[in-house]
Formats: sequence, structure tokens, C-alpha cells
Amino acid sequence: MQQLRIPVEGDTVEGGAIQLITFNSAGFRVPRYDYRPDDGVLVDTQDGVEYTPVEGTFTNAEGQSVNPGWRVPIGFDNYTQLLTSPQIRAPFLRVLLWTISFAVLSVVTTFAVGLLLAMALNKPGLKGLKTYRTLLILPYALPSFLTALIWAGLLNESFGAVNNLLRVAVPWLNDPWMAKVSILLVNLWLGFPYMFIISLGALQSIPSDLLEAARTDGATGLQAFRRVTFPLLFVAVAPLLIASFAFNFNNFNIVFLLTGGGPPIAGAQTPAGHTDILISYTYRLSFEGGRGPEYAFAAAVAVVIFLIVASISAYSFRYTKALEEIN
Amino acid sequence: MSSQGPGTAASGIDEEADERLSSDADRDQPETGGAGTFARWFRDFGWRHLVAVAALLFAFFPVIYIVSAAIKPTGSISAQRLIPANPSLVNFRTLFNDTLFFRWLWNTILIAGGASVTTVFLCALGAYAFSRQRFKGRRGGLLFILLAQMFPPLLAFVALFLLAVEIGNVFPAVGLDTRLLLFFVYLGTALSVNTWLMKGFFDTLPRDMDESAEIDGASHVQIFFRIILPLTTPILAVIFLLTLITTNTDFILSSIILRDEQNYTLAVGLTQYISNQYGARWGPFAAGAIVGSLPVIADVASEVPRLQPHARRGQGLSGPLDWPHHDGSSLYVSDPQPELDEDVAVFVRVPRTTGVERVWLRSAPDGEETFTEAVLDRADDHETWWRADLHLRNPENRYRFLLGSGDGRLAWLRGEGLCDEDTPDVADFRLHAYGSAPDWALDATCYGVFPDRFARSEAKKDWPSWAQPADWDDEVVRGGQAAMDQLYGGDLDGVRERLDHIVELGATMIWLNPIFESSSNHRYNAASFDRIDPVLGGEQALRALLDEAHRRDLRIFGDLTPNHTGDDHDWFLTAQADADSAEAGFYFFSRHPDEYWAWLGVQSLPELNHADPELRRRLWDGPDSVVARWLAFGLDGWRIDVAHTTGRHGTTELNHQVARGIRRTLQQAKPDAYLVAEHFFDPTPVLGGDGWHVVMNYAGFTAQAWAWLRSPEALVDPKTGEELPLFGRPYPIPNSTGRQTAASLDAFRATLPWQATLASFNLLDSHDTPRFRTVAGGRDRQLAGVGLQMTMPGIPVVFAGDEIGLTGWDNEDARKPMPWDEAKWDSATLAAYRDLIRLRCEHPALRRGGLRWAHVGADVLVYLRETRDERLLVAVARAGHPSVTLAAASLGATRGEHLLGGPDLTAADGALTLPGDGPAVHVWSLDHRE
Repeated sequence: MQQLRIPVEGDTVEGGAIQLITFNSAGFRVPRYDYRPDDGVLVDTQDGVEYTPVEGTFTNAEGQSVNPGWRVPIGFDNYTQLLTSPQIRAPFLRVLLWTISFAVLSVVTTFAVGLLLAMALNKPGLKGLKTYRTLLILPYALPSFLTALIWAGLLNESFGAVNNLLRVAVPWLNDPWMAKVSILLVNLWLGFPYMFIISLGALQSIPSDLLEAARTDGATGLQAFRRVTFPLLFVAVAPLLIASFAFNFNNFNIVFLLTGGGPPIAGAQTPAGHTDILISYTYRLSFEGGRGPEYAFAAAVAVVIFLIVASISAYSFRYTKALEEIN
Repeated sequence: MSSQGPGTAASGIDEEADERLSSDADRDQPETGGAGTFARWFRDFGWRHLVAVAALLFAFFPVIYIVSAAIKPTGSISAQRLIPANPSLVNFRTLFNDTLFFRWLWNTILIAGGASVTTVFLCALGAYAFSRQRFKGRRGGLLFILLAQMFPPLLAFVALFLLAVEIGNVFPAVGLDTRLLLFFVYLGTALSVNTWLMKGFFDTLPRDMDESAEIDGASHVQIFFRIILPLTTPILAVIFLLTLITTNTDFILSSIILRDEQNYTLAVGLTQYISNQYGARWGPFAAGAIVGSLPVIADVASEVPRLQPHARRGQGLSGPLDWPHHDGSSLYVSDPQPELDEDVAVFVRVPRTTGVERVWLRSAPDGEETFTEAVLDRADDHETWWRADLHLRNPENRYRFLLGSGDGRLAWLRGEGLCDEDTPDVADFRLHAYGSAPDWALDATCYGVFPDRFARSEAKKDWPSWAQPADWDDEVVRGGQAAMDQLYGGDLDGVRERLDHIVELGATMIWLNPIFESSSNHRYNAASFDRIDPVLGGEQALRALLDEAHRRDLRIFGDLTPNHTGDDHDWFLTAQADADSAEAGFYFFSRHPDEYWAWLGVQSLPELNHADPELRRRLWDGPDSVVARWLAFGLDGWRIDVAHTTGRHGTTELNHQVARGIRRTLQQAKPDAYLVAEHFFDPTPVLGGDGWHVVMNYAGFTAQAWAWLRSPEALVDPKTGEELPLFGRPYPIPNSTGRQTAASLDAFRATLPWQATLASFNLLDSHDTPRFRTVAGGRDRQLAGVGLQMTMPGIPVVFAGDEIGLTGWDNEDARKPMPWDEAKWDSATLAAYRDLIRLRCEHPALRRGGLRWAHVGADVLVYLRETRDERLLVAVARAGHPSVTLAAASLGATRGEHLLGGPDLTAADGALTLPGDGPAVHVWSLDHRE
């Protein structure tokens, strides 16, 4: 119906026609633009301004464009931009660097604390171990969107319980460095019970005669730990640590809900913050960009993330031999 | 047990390991006894608790704050005090009024729950197809799933968003801002990874199961719903939970898709609500966080055990419960008393940890070795059950199992247990089609009565000329002829008058030592097989006793000596008098009338010649024989004295014919009569066939119980000044460890068909041995022995007087008259006897259940008696010992109810810890497999 046009003969404007406007009304319409097939330029019939096709839209000399546009294959432009445009590359690299640091540091801190705790509590005859374990898993089990929001409240600079309690005014979430520390701390809080539980399990599965043999051979406690306990433990938990790294690499909830990625990096052309990791950066590109959503660019970043995560997965698959199961 | 199983060298029965554990005596228990002990406790345990409490404080600090904020009357975050002055629920009210909180909660449950359920169902279907079926594109499909699950769904959110917009233009019902779309998105993110996970799990289920179902005509739908799904419930539950947690935690996808407040999930709703207004909305937000967390906490708390499989202490434990097992009980044999030519299904249970993947039954019909591959009958998380049909081609059938693991290891499972070396067939399982001991005997508890010493009625006695009458309280004469002439005058009326005592004890059958007329107090030198000794009250008294006993459901069986008679026996006197008499052929005269073969050279005990047809007719062959006649009179069975040598004399080897003949006559005269043979040695050659039903299990039980439970002190008979020997052998009663004991019990049991084991006589002592209480060195170990006797397969036999604590250094000392003055009784022993006998009566598993070792320590034997309906765990300890810990998974139970008033068992960290006290007897009724 929309296509229906009734040309009107006579002294009317050339090219005008009667056309449906709504379902029950029609009106006389005159085309605003005229297309010149010779050079592919669109001409405004009212003021004669010329619009030339630029990247999927007709654009005039002032940079104004006529909507809607059309799709244009732009090849790898988004990826090239990511690596070449200084205003884009600089924040992207910072975000990438922080993403990797964040994931590594999260695994290291949670594992260290969890392991120390497990070693302290791995004592035959210790009462209440089961209770400790059950209680510790509960905070871990809470939905992370809730715990992140709770911590955001607790670390709030002016109202937060932490500052109130310590009677200080630390800008936990607003200072670039403190925000990073806060995120790591909160992630430590979130992750150490899990690491405690898997470390405890791994410790208990180490045959005691190995340690006894080491002791008989005169090894000190530290030596026995370094040479016997830790290597055996590491073999058992390494796959879980890799999984934990991959998880934290995309730990959107904690970053987005705790700091929102902020504080912002000054001078960045894209919405990048000091605590943004790639996934939250992508999200903000898509939905919070100051210059409108940049879906295409965000998708490009997503693919880059995928490539990184996929190589990590491929590495761990070599150990799990999952590929061999396809037969 | 010479072999404990492939690759599990002696684990679980390692006695040195026991000792090691026992040195770990320090306990987490702060003592109040002085600064030194507290310092030690703090060094060992105290600081660890401090660390744990610090960790808990760190973990719970935000939680505490949230709870505190939620009940503060002011919604502001800045209020200081942790415990508010006027706690109120005003924040909850504000939350519920200001927001659509319950709508959000409902949305969350609807979307996350719906997606989880659907995921589980669809993944199971897909995984079944990928695991069990072969179709075009399967490989490609699997590869696609593998790659798809590598791509984190989070990363696709840009695409998802754009897609949602497009879809909404065509199908608004699943467009942007609909709950249905979020449901589909969650489904998409969960399907591939979980299908992959589940396919891997399905692959571990043995295929034989569904293949055999397929052969039986089951469709794929039936196999899926009837076989696969029930077996995979645990993994389904885990996947449901994982999906629920993932979807419930999601913020990014839901915040992209849901735009209208009406459609929010909790994650989006609460985030939007608080959106940086921490100052004003903190209190209501805290309230929302608490309410929103409750379902998750409840859910996770219930799943905590499942979520920490690595932390199961019990998993490190390996013991005999983790070995494959088969015995003749009805758990493993479809018909324990089969007929000839019957197909009997035999089962093996194989713990998954063994890695066994194939099982064969090896049998030898007509002597030809035959292997039958067993099929998987059923399986659970912990173990698999394999089934094969054994065709009873011959009356005597031996069989064993061959177990093969995935990596090519082989092991045999025979009567003696598991071994990975090749062994001959003697210890194979046996299943015979001869018929076996009467069914009632399997449930019996027997009471042994030595007539001269049990009880004396008021009846006036005509003392025989040979007798040296004694008063009931007189000392027993030990040694020499006088020991046999000393007659106390106990009689059958006396037995009848004391039936109350026997019934109250719980016994159901009485074994009477010989009651035929004879010239000794033990009456094993019969002067007649036709006359009941007048000193005992004669035939009349027997009649009265049998009637009264039968009225009380007690059975009575007699004691016959087909090996010999007394030298004053009617037959022997005739034989000596007349060399041409029929009776002369009954004996082995080398020179008539004074030189003849006598048992062990004792001239008063001339041996009978069973080659003589007339003797056979008179003694045991046919309805007129002694054997048949007294059964007809009312006896319920026979105990055959010195059965091992009966019918044996040089080249005359008629032992088996005698056994068969007596059995045949018994069967005809009284089909449900019981036939037990005296046998101090290995009874293998004479048992389990068509001869004696069973034997007195001196070799397989008594000797083992003595060796394990004998007093640790030297047992020096004060009269002889010598160490107490074992059954007259030239060595003292050995002192065995639990391992040796269990191995011997197994070895002897392995030589018998299971039904014969169940009906065998398990004695701790008899009129022929010292009293067990003397061997055990006192009440404690005696009762440990009674515990063993009442919970092991076989008929327990109590020799009158055991139950009140009588002692005795040899058979004569053991035959001291039963004191009826209850002040002289050890009432604690009597009570223990009654309890244990009642326990045996009340629990069929103790009488007929299969037997599996759970732990064998130096000082403790732990075993399971199992039927289809009940599972009892028994621990008998001869001394205090390191407490035994059993893996709940291996045991298949998490709780045990003590049946004797001791402590119940409860699994902690996947293991059950048994008390380490001793000497002790514990019996627990286990809950059924989870």
C-alpha cells in the first residue's frame, strides 16, 4: 500500500503524487531529493545542496547526512582503528592490559588466601571444619550482582560503611588506583572461599605417606611444602585456576556494578574507564557511548575478546583432551 | 586371604596403618588442666580456629552490614550503629511499596527456573542421541557444539541485542523487552555446554544395559526414560543447579533485553532501583538483597555436599568394600536352593573404582570349561551389578568369575575372594542341586545339652553298678576311668523341667548328647541303640520331653555313633559269643572273639563294619533302621559322632556311602530333619553333596574364634601345668591377628556351598573342648566371641552353661554340672547372650544375608550382613583399637542405627567413623543406599 502512488497530471510540481499517509488518509507528496544517476549524487530539491555517498549515507559538505543510510562493507576498518587510531588504541590497550592484570591478580590473590586458609585448617582432629566450610561457601553462593552492589554501597566515599568504620575518607571507587585496589579486594572476598574449598580437597587427597617419606628423609616443613605438597596440589587445581582466569577475564558483573568501569580515562575518545575490562568496555561502547551506540565497533572488540579466550580454552583443551571425545 | 585384589595391596587391612593412626592421640579439646596443656592445644589447634574465625569475619562483614541496614528504621546508609536502636521492618515496606519487587522475583523464578528445567530436558535428549545413536552429521554436530560452547555467550550480547530488535519487528511476542526472549537467550547460552557435559557422562554408562534392553524390544524412548534418566539423576540435578545459578547471577543479558519495569528480573530491578542513590535507598535495597538471596542460600546450602566433591575425606579410603563381591546369598544368587537343570542367575557387584568393564562367568558343565559373558544388570553412582546365567547341568557345580578392566588387567573372583594370579578350582564358588539342610535350620539357634550334667529331676535313681554317684555340687573328677564313671544323674525329665531356661535364652533347637543306655557318663559307648538309658528316665521320659519341646516349638535332635558301639553293646556281645551270628559280621575281628578293630585302639569301642549289609539295614539303611526309627519316634535330626572316620578302615573306604545312606534314610523318614556331622578338620571332602547336610564347624569357625579371641595371657591348665593346646594338637592355641582370622574364615567358608555355611554348626566350645570363657580369659572376650558367633553365617550353638559364664580347662572340666542357683550365674553374660540371640532372631540378614568385609584390623573385624531388605554393619573388637573410618560411598549408607543401644553412626565429610572401644560388639542397621 505504501508503494501505491497516483501520479497527478497537470500544473503540479514535477514528480509529485498522491500517496497513502496512514491507512485511511492520503495526501499529495513531493520528493525532497533528486537522485542524479550520472555521478550518484543526491540533490536537495529545495535548496540544491548536494549530498555525496560516504560510508553508507549521503553526506553534504558540512558533514550532515540524510537518514536512513545503507549497509556498506567496511572490511577490517574497525580492527584497524582499534590498532591505529591513537584516541581509540590508547584506551583499548589500557583496558586490555588491565583486563589481563585483573584476571591474573584475582586468581593469584584468591588462590593464595584460599590455600593459606586451607593449610591452616587442614589438621586431623580439628573440630568444626565442616561448619567453617559450610559457612564460608554461603557468601560465595550469593548472586554476584547483589554482592557487587552491596560492596559498592559499603565502599561509597561519603556514606559507605567502610569509611565510616575506619573514620577515613578514602575515595575507594573514584580514584583510578584505589578503584583498582577495591575491585581486587572485592573479588578476593568473592573468590577466596571457593579457592579454600578446592585447595582443602586437594590437600586432603595428597597421600600422607609421601609427606612422611619426605619427613623421614629430613625435609623441613618448608621444603616438604615446596617440593611435595605444592607440586601435587598444583597439578590438581591447575585446570580450575585456568577456568577461574577465563571467568575473571569476563567478570562483567563485578566491574560494571561496583565501579561502572570508572573513573573515566581522561581524553579518551571512547567511553573507557580506569577499571573497565574488555567486556564492560564493549558493553559501554554499545549502550552508553556519548556519540550514540557503536555496535559495529563493540562487536569487533567482542571478537578480539573471543580470540583471547578461545586461545586460553584451546590451551586447556590440550589437557582435557575434549577433542578426542568426538568419535 | 592370600590375595587382596589387583593393585590394592592390603589396603584396608593394613595393621601397621592402624598402629600409625593410633599414635595420633592428640585431640582438638582444650584441657583445663594447667597452662602447659592449653599452650600445647593452642599451638596445635587454637591458632587454626583463630584463623578460621578471622576468615569468617571477613566473609560475613558485608552480610552483617546488609542485615543491619535492612532493619534500621532510617533508610539512609550513613546511620552508624551496627545494631540499630529500634529495629523495624519499615525498609521492607518501603521496598515493597516503591518497587515491583515481588513481580521481579516472580520474573526471576519464571525465567531462570523455566530455562533450567528446559535446559536439563533438552540437553538430556540431545546427549542421549549423541552418546547412543549413530547418524549422519553426528560428528559435525558434536564439533559444532564444542566450538559453540567455547564462545562465551556474554560476548554475543551486541549481536543478541540487534537480533532481538529485528525479531521484535516480526514476532513481537519474543521481541526486545519480553521475558520469553530472555528465556530463549538463557536456553541458548546453556544448551551447548551442558549437552557436551551430559554426553560425556552418558558415555560412561555401560552400553550393555541399553543394548540388552534393546534386544528385549525396548524403544529408544523407553530406554531413555526407563534406564538412562533414572541412572543420571545426580548429574541432571547438578546441571539444573548450575544453570539456575548462572542465569540467576546474570545481569548483562537481562539488562540489555528487559526495558520495561514490569518485565525486570531482580538483577535489573534492584540495580536500577539503587542506581547510585546509596544515600537514600540503601535500607530498602538491603531489604531487597536479603529477600532476593534467601532462595539461593536455601538452594545452595542443600547442595553443599554435592558441590564439594573434592573435599570428601571418605574418598581417600579404600578397603574391602571397594572390591568386587559375590557370595551364595540371595542377593547374588537368584535361587540358593536350585534343582538340577535349572538356570540360576548369579550376580557380581563391582565398585566403579575397580575399573572393571567386562565380566565373565566360568563354570564347568560336564567337566568342560565354559565362559559366559555377564551382562550389566544395574548400576548406580558407586557400583555396577553384573549378571550371568549358570545352568545347573550337574548336581555339583563350581564357578568363578573373571573380571577384566579397561586397561587389560584381569582378576579372578572365587570363593576365597579376589586374586590376580591363576589358581586351581578348589576355592571356586559352589552351587549344588542336591537339596540342602531344612529351611528351619537356617533360622535356628542351638543349645547343647549333656544329659548327665544339665539337670536332675526328683525321680529316684537306680544307679548302675559301674557308676560312682556324685552329688550335683561335687567337683568333677578329671582324668582316668573315674572321670567316665562319675555319674551326677542328670536326666531327661530334668531337661524337660528346665525348658523355660532354654526358651528364655532364645534357643530354638536342642542337641542332646547320646541318650542310649551305656556304661559311661558320656554314653558314646552305647550298650544299645534301642533302649534309652533308664538312668535318664527311659523311653517314657524322652517321649515326655519331645512332646513338651515340640509344644514349645523347640526341636530336638539326637547323637548317634555309627562308627562304633560300646563293648557291652547287645550286638557286640552276640558277636563275641557266636562267630557265626549275623552280628559277628558287624565288627572287624582279627581273631575272634578278643582281637578286633577298635576306635583309636580303645578296646571298649569296637568299630562297626559298614560293608556288612545287615549292619547297614539295622543301623541306617531303610525304615527299620535305628536312624529312621528314632526320627519316627520324634527326634528332629541326628548329630553323627566322629563322622570323619565312620566307614573308614584301612582300604575300606565307605565314609561317603554311609553319609549318603544316612541322608537317604533321613530324607525318607522325615524330609525336614537335620543332619550334622562331627568334623574337627577340613570337611571339604565330605560336604555339600548328597551326604551330611553340614558339619560342626570346628575348623572353619571354632578354631578361628579361639585363635583371635584367646586370652593374651598364657593359658596354663593348673592341673597339667601345660599350655592349653588347640584340639589336642601338639601346639598351644595360636594367637592370630584379625587379618589371619578373616583369611581363615574366608578360606574354610569358600570350600562350602553357601547353604551349607548357613546351616553349619558355629560353636565356641562343646562337651569335647575346654570352655570358651577359659580360652578367652574372661567375660569381655567371651562376649566378643558370642558377638561373632551370633552375627556370622551358621547356626550358633551354645553349650549349656556358656551363657551363665561357666569355665573349664578341658572337656571333663567343661562338663561340670549346670548350677541352678542363679546366685552363681554371671547375669551380665546371660543378658548379653539373650540380647545377641534376640538380635539374630529379629534380623534375617544375620541368619541368611550375604557377608562382605568392610574392614579387617588386627583387633577389629567389621563386616556387612546384607539382604535385599536390610543391611547390618557388624564390628567385633577384641581390644581397644584405632577407630575405623569407612567411606559412606563405599558403604552405601550415611547413617547407622545401633541395635544394641550403642552410639548411632552418622556420616561426616563422606565417612562414617566407628567407635574404637574393645572388647566390644556393635551392630548397626544401615539406611539404604542414597
